[in-house]
Amino acid sequence: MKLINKSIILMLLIAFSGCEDALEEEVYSQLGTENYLATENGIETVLYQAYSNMQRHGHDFSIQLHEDIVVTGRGDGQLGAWEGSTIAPFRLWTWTSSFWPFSNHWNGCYNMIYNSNVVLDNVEGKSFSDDFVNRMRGEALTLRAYAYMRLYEYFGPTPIHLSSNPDDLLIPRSTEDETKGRIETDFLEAIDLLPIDQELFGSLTKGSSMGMLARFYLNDKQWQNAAEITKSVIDLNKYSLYPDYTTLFHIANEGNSEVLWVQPSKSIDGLANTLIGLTYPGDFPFEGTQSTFPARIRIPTWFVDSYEIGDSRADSTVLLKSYVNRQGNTINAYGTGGAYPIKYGLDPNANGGNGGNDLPEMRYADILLMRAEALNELNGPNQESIDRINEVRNRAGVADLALEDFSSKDDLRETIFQERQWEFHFEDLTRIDMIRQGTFIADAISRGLQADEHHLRYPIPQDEIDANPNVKQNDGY
Amino acid sequence: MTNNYQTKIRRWFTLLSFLCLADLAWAQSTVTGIVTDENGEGLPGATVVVKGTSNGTTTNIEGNYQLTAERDAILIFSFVGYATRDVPVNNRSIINLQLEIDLKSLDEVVVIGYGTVKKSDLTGAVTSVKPDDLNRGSIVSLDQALQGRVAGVRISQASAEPGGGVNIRIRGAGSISAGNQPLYVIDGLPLNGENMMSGGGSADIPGNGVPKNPLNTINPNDIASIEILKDASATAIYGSRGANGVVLITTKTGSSGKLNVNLDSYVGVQTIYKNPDMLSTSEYISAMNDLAEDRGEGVVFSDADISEIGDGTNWFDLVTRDAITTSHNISFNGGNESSRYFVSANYMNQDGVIVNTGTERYSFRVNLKHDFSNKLTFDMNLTTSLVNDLNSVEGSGNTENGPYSLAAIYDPTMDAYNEDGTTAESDVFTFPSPIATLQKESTTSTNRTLGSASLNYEIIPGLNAKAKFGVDRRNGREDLFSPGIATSSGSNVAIGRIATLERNSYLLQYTMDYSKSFSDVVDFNILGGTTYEKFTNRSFSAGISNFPTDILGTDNLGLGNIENAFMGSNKNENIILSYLGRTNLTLYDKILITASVRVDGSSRFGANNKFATFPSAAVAYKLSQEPFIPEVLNELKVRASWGKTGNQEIGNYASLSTFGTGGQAIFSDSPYQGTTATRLPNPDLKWETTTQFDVGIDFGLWDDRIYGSIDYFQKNTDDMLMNFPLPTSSSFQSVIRNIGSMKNTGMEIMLTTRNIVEPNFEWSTGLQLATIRNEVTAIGGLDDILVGNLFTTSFAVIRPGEELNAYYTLEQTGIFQTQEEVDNSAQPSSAPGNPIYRDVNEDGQINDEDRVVVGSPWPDFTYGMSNEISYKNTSLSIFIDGQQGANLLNANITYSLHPPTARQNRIKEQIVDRWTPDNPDAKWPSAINPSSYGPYKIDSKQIEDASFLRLQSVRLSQTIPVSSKWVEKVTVYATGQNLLILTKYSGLNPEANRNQNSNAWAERNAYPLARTYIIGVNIEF
Repeated sequence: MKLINKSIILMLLIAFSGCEDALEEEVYSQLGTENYLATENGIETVLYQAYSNMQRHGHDFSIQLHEDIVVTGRGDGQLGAWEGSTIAPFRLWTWTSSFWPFSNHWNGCYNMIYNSNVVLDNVEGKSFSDDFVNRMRGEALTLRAYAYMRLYEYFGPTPIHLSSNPDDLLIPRSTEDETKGRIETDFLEAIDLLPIDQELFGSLTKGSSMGMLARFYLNDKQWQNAAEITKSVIDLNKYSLYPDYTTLFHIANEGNSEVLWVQPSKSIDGLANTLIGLTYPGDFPFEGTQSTFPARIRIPTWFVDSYEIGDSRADSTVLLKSYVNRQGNTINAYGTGGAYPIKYGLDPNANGGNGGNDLPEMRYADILLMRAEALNELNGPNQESIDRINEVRNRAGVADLALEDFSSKDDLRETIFQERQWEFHFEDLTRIDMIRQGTFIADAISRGLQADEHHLRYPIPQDEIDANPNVKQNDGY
Repeated sequence: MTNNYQTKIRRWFTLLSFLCLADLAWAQSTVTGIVTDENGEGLPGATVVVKGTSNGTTTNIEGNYQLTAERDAILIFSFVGYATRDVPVNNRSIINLQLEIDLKSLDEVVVIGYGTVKKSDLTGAVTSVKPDDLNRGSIVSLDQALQGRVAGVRISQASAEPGGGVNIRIRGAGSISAGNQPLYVIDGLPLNGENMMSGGGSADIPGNGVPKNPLNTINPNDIASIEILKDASATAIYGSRGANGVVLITTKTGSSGKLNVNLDSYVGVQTIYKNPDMLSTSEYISAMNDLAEDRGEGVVFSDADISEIGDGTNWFDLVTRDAITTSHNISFNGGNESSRYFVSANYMNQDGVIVNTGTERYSFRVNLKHDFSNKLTFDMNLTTSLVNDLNSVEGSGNTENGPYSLAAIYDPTMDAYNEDGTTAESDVFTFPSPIATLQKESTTSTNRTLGSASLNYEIIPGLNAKAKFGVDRRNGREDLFSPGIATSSGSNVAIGRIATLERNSYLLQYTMDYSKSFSDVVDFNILGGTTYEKFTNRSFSAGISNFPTDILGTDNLGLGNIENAFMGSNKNENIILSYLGRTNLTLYDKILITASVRVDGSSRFGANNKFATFPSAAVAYKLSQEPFIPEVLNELKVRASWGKTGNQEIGNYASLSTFGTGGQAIFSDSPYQGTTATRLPNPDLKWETTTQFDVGIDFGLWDDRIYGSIDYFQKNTDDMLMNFPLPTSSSFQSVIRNIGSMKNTGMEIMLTTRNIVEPNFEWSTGLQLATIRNEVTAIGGLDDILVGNLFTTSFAVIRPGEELNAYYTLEQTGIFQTQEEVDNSAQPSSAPGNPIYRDVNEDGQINDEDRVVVGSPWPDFTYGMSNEISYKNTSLSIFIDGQQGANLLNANITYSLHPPTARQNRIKEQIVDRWTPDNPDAKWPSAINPSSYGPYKIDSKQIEDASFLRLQSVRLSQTIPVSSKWVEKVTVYATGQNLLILTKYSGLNPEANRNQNSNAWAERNAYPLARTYIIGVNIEF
């Protein structure tokens, strides 16, 4: 009996001791921070994450394109939940700080910044090759600068995080100069670091970084810098216009010589975009696995009519005006509700409305027109500006402009902006172009909207305002 | 105890009584009589003793007795299980007496954490429920059987799907983000309450916010008792898992003696209680034409169209059915003096009222007890079950999804089938036909094995040691398949997925307890122990699309296009290590004192806070033992308790920062997997602590003709785990911190009255009533947190001073009648016929600032009332339950008011009573341009009163006399469930919640409630 008693007490003692190490949490399916970031592979996958924040898909993609075309009145939505709740505030100019596309844009950009910062914080001081370090730094800096630029386009100056260290989370908004200085510095450093060619298409190159910096200079009206950097891109002799505008965006021609950088997509779960589902008519006679969503985007008749006769950018394979539907009836879309913007074409492997078309982020035609615009702003009408515009017009199959047609800088500026609207329609450039041109608000008022200067910037997302007392809302919101 | 067994005992006592008679030679005066039982039949073996002497006898086999006694003596009549009676002789020579059953002695022992206690010695708020007091009918899980039965336990059938998830809140919502479900402990083994796979969320099958109930794996027929531990004195022994209350389930055990067999079988039919009231075909046609006309558009349906359409299609008829439910249960129990067993087998099937839904269960149980000696005993409980679910594919998101929700909105003017018999496709909708989505397949099957074995050893009298080992193993598999015709993208690309999940846990437990009485003054009992539990989860999933044919479903995933394949796997585990102790002290059988403590260590918490201590104390005073309490009060006890409990139900690894799978980037047309930091670290993360204070009173009047209890409690939850919002510029949305505080106060009343107690006629009434007031008291310095998102709008708020997740949106005050009214309002861009919103801050515009609290999902009180009437061999039980003062967001209204597609069908009332210049007093707006109504889709008018009174069940049963050698008793019964629901709520289910884990309650795509009628038979052999 005593033996049993003793052994029971012994068992109790054993049970009460020695188990506490067991409470250490053992992680199986996730990776520890320190070890992981000590490897090239670890750093690279974090960079992929930053790219993935930049490469929008699904609804994130749709809203990016819709926002631009709807807020500028160059397109409108029809049918579907998308039209009802999501893009109506952009059409009616009734957005508020809790409208989800703003936090979507904000979060996407700041995730890109955070992951770029993780790369920048961890890539140096290890035994990685210089090539690797330069390439990683160049790509991360470009992505960070791009993110701050996109934030600036929406919201103006925002908090600047230059480290992934979580200690200081309540950073206030930076000043205009700080923001612009940061964007320029990061792009310039990246241009030095990046190679002209990358192994994988879609990775950032010297040219893409230069092109994005050109866009920044242009929007900031730093005309001299814009003129120089666009010249540098042209002098790389790497890029040229793709000969046919109507097939430029087709999936078969992805990665052609005109593209400096793209937002790629692929027709697989989670990586597809919604172009097919949102741009084709519901009863379009698809031959493959394509189909459409309830929502639709349509281009108003007046815009279609604004193109010159014979302009391939208004061809029915770019802006679908009439078609024979599944039932065999001819449908005149153009007269009833507007044309369908189908310039991206069909993905033969589409999964319903989801396809894998790339969206160009920067293409050579933009470099040419930016150079033309910058030179005009610097010198007034000049032959190089006219020549650059004509390169773009020739490809579209419309007649050359002549220098003598332009009496003033304003005159040519107007023509350039018109050309940009035609050339870059449905490419997420219209709003910033109109803001630069100074017509964004006036155009909205002419469409009967109640618009004023405060609409030039969107409101800072309410989540940020609520969680960060140091961030002040934009005026008027 | 069976009749046979009783007879044996009676005979034995009779024999004894004859032996005793030999002593009674020198009688003074003889008293004779017959002692009868509650049915008036002779009671053999009852003891009759002359008070104050050793002179006594027992009754013979007919219940007769004879003894000698002084003429002024008092006779004491007693029998096991019956109330003892003192009867003066008063010169009589014949005294006949009927003994009454002593209710208290029958349910004397109550199970508590790590032990048992006499019911009269309870110091905490514990409600014990026996199988007779559980809900009857087609019951899949034991929590359904408890619905409405216990005060302070709100059980809501969040999804009416067969086996659908249940929301249980014991004494209110105790947490915001760490889970609200109680801890279930079955035969001493704490269950892993986490859900298995939900049957959706992939392969084009929408995520299901209310996964199947994990308790479906347990056969409710095996239950011997359920104890619900409510106050901290009862729950603190479960430490960091006790804050939401604890439900102890005890399964049946065998008893020595002859083999007893019980067979129970029923079959029933379920019919839909009601479908949403949508426009009929003809109403739809005129609505579409009227709306088009009001918008200035041409008619949608010409006269020629109308004559061609005819009756159109009633889509509900095509996707619903009357569903069969059936169950067969057989159990055996018996044993000898050293071994006892209980064995049962169960098959249960419940088809759903939506086609292609349902659940079935096979379960098997063995409970064994064996005494090696009178010191060393062994017991084992083992049950294994297989549950196969055909899941509803309705989903709970923003868009139309499954067959039933599509049937509500689909175009009633089109034909369901083409002339060649194929499914017709709509010209106006891009989402698939309701009958096409019926072909979506979502099946889950779960095998669960629960086993525990323990050894008990009595070291010295009063000192016991117990070692227990237990396992809870669940293996599940989920198959999801959407054929091309049914995919929501209309892609015609079939997609399939198979996932497996294992949730395994084991328990090692060692306890010792010591009991001792010191004279009559002090009784004491002390318990100590340690437990170690480890939970391991592993999952694997793989999916693929672009199948060449739909025929094989998920049975050959290899047929899909490998370019579109995806897979994943995961493993995680957590550990709880605990030390526990409790002491009970009884003074003079009047004063009861209990104190307990548990020290819990959890791997889930931050490095700085691995261990926590949860103490409790309680005191009770049995006033009925005092002479100054009038006799009419046969029981009166006052109780008070205080204690702390915790909640550790957050995911694993929440305190660590790790790199996990992120998004994919595309380069050269190939995906590259990214990784990203999963969260910010928080080494200070710890459990939530709930401090609860409870005072109660237990009472019984007139020998328990009326008895019950009343409790008042206050529960303060602090260090509440919350996702503290971070500036999103940090790249993180939030970090989990211990920042919140919440308070629940309430009153619970449970009352039973035995209205009629006659030999052949009994009627008793049970009543329970609870009122709980919830208040959020702090959320880490924030003003409020918006929660519950539907249609891109948050509809609820967590705000100090308000109830948790109070509904929070614009208040609709009416409908604009004229353009002038619009121009002078805060909504100048609105239109006549649109809703008017209250401009709360009077700044001339309607925006976020104008949102106000417009309702609460929490009822003012909940109640239940049972009536049990028996007359001879017939008995009737009626059970009513309900809630008063709760609101529920009816998102079906929202969806119909803001139809994404103009051509979808609407809730009839919204069109019939829509605003037009000719119908200025309309209830609903004009429906002409819903996107111009205002900034939100959800407003106060969609937050409806969800009070209800429900005739939950009526059961009529008849015991048929049998005279057979084999059959002892046959009972036939008929039960109706959900017979009547009185409510103003216009949706399908006033208890529905689209997301089981969320306290932001909303009905969206709810599964329709069913009325159930069953008939069954119960045979005892």
